Amino acid sequence: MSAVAIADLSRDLARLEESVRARASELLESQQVRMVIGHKRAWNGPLAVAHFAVSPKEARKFAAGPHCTGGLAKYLLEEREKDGVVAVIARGCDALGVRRLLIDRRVDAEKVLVLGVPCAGCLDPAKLAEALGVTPAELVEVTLAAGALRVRLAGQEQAAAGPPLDKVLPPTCMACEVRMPVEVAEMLGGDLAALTALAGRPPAIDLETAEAEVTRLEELSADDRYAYWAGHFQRCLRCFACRNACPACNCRVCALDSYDPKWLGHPTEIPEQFMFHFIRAVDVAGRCVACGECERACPVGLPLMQLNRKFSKDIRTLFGVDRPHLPGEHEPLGKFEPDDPEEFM
Amino acid sequence: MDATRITGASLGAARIPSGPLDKLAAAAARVAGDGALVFGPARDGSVWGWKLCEAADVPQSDLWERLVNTDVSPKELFMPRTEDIARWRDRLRNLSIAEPAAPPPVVVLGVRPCDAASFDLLDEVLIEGPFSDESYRRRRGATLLITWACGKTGPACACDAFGLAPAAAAGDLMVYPDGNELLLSALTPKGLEVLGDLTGGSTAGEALTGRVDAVAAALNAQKTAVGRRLALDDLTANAAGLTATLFSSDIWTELSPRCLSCGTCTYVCPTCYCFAINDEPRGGDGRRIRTWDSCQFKEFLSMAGGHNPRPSKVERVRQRFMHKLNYHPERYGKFLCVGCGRCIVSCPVGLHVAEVGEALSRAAAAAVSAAKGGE
Repeated sequence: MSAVAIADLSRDLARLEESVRARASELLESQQVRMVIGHKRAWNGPLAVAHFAVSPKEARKFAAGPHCTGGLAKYLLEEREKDGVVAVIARGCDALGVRRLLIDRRVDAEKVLVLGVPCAGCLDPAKLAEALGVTPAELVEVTLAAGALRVRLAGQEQAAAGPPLDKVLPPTCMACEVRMPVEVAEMLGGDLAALTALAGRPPAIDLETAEAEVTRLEELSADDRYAYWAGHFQRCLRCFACRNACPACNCRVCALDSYDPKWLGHPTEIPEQFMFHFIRAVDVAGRCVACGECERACPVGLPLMQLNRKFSKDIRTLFGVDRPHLPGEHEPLGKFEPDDPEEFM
Repeated sequence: MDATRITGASLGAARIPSGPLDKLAAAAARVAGDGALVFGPARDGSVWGWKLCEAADVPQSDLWERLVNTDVSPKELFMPRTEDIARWRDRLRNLSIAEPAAPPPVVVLGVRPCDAASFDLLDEVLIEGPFSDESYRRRRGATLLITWACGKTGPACACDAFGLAPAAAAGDLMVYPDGNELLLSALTPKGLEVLGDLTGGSTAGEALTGRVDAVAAALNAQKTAVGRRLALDDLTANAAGLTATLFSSDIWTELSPRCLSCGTCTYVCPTCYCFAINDEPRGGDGRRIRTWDSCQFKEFLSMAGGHNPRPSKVERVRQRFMHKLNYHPERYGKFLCVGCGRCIVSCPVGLHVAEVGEALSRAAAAAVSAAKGGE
């Protein structure tokens, strides 16, 4: 990508933000939708939070850009019983999340309008803080100018130049193959040459590299692998943030909440922690959309995407499907077919 | 607000050099009792929590210059994430029931003043109320709390918005950074014993307690970034009179949609104390255990028969913040929040006590001025 195009990126993001506000406003004004779900500036800190606009006035608060982290698709589950259409401002991962809910028949297609936005990746505050030698809480404001971040830290009046955005993305965004969202009703922002060019670049981490970490864990001895995961799982608070943030975790009744039968014991001790995380990971195997929300939501930094990637690698090995979460791909575990070759069926 | 929560009263003081704290830890362990365990802040993966320290790995004092606070609160040292209430064995109907052994004495080295104050709040509910929580009471009684005053505040800190301050006096023994030295000030007889053990019984002169007061006052004068934005006085004044208005305020439908209904805020919070009791049978044997529970979980209030009095996030989010900012102040005269800032940092969707507190305070001010206008 040329230097000129990078310089245009912040202008594109400003245009995109204006386009999101205008389109949301229009849809609400004309009552084509009853709610638009997107992001808005947070009370504090650099990251945006989910925003639910039901009036044109509230639509003016919408934001777009690399600070708009946090998945939006899952919120549709809570709107499913209500009448009327809900629009979602969808990055690629959000659009795949919505698609997940549609395939799983948890949301009616007639009640959802997916408004796509191209995405340059969403910043990882931990990585940004590390690059600047501060703690994530010290990041007050982050903006994108000419392809590099400008960061204002706690106690500072002025923002200073930070690292380039692509150096502070979470691994999930670095491996993202859907920066241009798929299966959307319309794309917002119009002609955004710089952003589109950036979003169209191949991912910085390809499938093979992403799986190298899984291979490393597979090659450990059983005892070492147990020690690795026990070390992580003993931190787990059992807060269910990973499950609740996940668009593929959309069961009507979750096995992890079930008392009868009781699949999961209540102690937060190592055997139950393994059971908890394996149930979660196995239940989304083949349906995970690789949005990384589980890992992002976790308050104690569990590397949950490693488990998800292990299962996606297994699916590739066993069924020959690389990306079961993408349109046009065969879903080996998420779909029933009468002519399933599995003989015991 | 009650100023004694900040100033405290020193029973005696001492001065030690900064650096290794193994002598202080050892003295505290001796005072705490035989077999005392010492816990200190420790990093685990990407997260700061609390770990058992062997004598050799007691942290040095510079840790508290670098670390604003741990990501996980020290409450699990008093309310373990999982604890036995009883275990039973049924060797073919020869039933025997065993209660857990008494908890060992514990020294907690270097909790921040906000966290130390959280235990005072919990004590009022779990020990001093009409019901005494036996397990919590035993653990609290066996603990010696060394509190480390904050030389600087973090960006998510909010102690001053909740009636506390960066060096609010709480716990058994306060540690104040003072140049290259540490000032120790005993707040309880246990804390005084530690000073005695450490200094060989020499009592501190008045000059030193004067210095403690001066250092504490300087540290307490720090204002936090969040505290500068938050004025919550409207919430404590006339808390009882505001309950119905705040309960039916629109802010709950405005703020709750983004909540994920996970338990992160309640589990990182030093003042949330809800728990669940479950039986975990295994064959004829089993255990009755207590684990943390969260009012934000959908199933938290599900009743036998299927009724759920808090079916949606509006009711659940309202419950958590009304409890902290209205019900508790109404009953105990103070917020059930110490402004540690953990929910501000950890909530995956940025829904925390500062934003909700501001919105609720605005609703309270509007209600008060509407009432005045109607007079």
